[in-house]
Amino acid sequence: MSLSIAREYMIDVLVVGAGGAGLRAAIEIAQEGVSVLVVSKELLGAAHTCMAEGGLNVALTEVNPANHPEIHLQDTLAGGAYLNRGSLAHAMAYEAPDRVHDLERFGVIFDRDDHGHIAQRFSGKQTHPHTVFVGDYTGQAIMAALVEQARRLQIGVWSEHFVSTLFKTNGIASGALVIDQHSGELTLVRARAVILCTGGGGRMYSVTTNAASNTADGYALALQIGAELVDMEMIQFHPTGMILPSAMRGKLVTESVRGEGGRLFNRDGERFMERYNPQRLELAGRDEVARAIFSEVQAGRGTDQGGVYLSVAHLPAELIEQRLPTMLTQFLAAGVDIRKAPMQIHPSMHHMMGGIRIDEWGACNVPGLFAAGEVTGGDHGGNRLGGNALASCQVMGKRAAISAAKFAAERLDLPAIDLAQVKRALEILDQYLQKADSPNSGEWPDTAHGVLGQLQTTMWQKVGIMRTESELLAAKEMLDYLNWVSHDELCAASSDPRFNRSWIDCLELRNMVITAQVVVYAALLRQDSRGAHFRRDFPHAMPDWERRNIVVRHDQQGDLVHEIINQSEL
Amino acid sequence: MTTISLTIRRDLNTLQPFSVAFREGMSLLDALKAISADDATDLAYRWECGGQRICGVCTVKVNGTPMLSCAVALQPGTDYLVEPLDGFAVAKDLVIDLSVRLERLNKVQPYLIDGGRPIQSRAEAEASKLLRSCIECWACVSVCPVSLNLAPESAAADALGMVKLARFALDPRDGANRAEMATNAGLDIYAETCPGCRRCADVCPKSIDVYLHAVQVLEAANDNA
Repeated sequence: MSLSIAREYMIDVLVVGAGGAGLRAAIEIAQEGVSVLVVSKELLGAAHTCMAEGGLNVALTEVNPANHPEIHLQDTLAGGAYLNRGSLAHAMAYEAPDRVHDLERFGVIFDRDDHGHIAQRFSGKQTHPHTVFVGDYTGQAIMAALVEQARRLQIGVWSEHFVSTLFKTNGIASGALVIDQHSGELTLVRARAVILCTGGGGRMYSVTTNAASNTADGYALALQIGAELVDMEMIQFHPTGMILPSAMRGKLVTESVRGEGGRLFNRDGERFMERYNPQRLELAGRDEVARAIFSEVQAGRGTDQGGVYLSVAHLPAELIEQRLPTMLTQFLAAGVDIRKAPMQIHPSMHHMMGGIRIDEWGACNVPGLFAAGEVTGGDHGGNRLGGNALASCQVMGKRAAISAAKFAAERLDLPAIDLAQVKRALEILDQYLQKADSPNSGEWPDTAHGVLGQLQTTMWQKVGIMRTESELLAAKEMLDYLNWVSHDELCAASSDPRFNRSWIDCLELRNMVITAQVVVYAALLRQDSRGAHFRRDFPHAMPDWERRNIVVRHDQQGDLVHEIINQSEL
Repeated sequence: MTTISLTIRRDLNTLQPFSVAFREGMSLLDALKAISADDATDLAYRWECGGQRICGVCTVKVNGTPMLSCAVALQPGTDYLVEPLDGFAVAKDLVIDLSVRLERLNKVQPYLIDGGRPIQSRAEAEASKLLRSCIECWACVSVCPVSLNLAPESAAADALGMVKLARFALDPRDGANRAEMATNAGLDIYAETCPGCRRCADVCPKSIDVYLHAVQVLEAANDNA
């Protein structure tokens, strides 16, 4: 074996991921005087959080006395089809105001109203306008401020480093194996506590709004050290993704387009949401609007390109320029002036509601392992409201940090990591490099690139907006094959570990396949339509599934096992 | 089949030509992805948001001008020379090493410093909005003759540092004397030697003009002090 550990590094808390949740966690830990290291696949500041456009949901009572966190909570629970873990949703709604004030202290300036107060607008399924924003690039503004704080606090950030494996010692999380993507060197990080803030897995789908790094790493890392995942069948399809040009397919068209008054029309010029939800129209839940658009297209009432129209042309041009500048530029580049002409859109995979099953303090069933942000499940239930991802990552980033810092402070020893475990992890990494020098006979794609396309097409076509048992079974069969391929057959393009993107691609693909298997496993189990999960063969909400969550984990052999829990008993 | 001809600078002495099948609406980033999937699996380049023009990591020099590769719409019939940004050490191919410039950026304390007062009006919030929209793509630094001419040991800030100083100077919540910090970070050099080429504004994805929106703002703050 050519790979070896270049060095060991010791830290109190290891944070994996440098997006909204990871940086918020690291800032909290640094302020508590506990040592913290952030390991991030991408450059600092470029995490998927920066792509969030619409805003952050928060009941700011000092701005509008009619706002109240309880309303935010009730909107969240209703939006989530009551599958939410109540304690998590409660924490998010009630602590979002303080976290928004933190963000302003960190450097964010949310857009103001005429009185100089923070402005708030409607997002989908809200009974009150609870969304604060910075133009239509709120996530970027939040990331900029979090990065500024990370610089102020001189937090150690290893950018462009990949975490391949997590370790446990005596059943407690104890560190990670980290690849420097430039030098190819491996570091064994020994930590008293680990927080996973790795984001989602949109890259499992061929049509997605997600960033390059959303490759489901955290779900797979957690599963493999025994953590439970919950609600993994709940995949959010954002109603409005771009269609044209084809190279931009899936790119996000922010919900604030509809929040500002945008209207949906089918090819006949009918404002079809009047049929699906006459009360809330375009601002019905994301699950509902996505299914409505999908149904219109399926019924032959879509555009020639297979989408529907979204128009803001009836709004004042000035409002579009001020409130939706990113959308204006994005569509002008595609040859459409949204001040005058409608956009063509189709749903695009956007968010995973499910994830690591945490309590309201970010702890899971593996002691020493904590998590926050999209990689977790529970706060959004079966369908996330637009604006709640940014709220959740700030609230739970801080909460997970408090828990992890406390756990680390109370854990007096810095446990050694079992060498046999490390050796196994190295062998897995090494096999992809070794095979580069002796690839297989060519019956299947050698490198991750070709296999990735098969995964993405399978997930988009068979594990999409509307599902059936037969399609899910076909997906399962394909995933079993891809699991074998990604474990045993893939190889990097070169055996040199330096700057070897194709090697990291293998590891990410493996994580995506491991995660996709859980999604399909849970989607098959839930013979029910609720939240974002819609089964054509069970098109109604079944009473037996009310408030029931599916919890999945790996058993000792790595096979999937599950438990169905009753949310109301928690 | 329509193809696009791209030449990529792999290192100082190696220009490698590629031909990529053209698709309607294809960006330069799409072409780099196609090349790395097929012809040059070891090609090093950065991308994250993939077309939203918001993450700021895919900046490269295209026919001499820095651009976000996800925002370059390829035109059949045009030849493209793709190179790493000027003014940075190259880690590999199109991936630049930011460490020296980041260290220089940190010297201007590019974060909110306590001691100011709350924002009281929409106008106060809007004052810094353009500068706050900076995505740190480094395009300005790579074309600014003043930044590029700074000696490695110079205490002066890069163009991006001036943008950050002005951003906080325009934020009433910031308690630091940003104008004085700018003076210590070479404001005079920018005020006196900026040739007015405005390339910074031309290449900025957010149309920030470093001279107009940062240097002049900081000079005015100095005059008012």
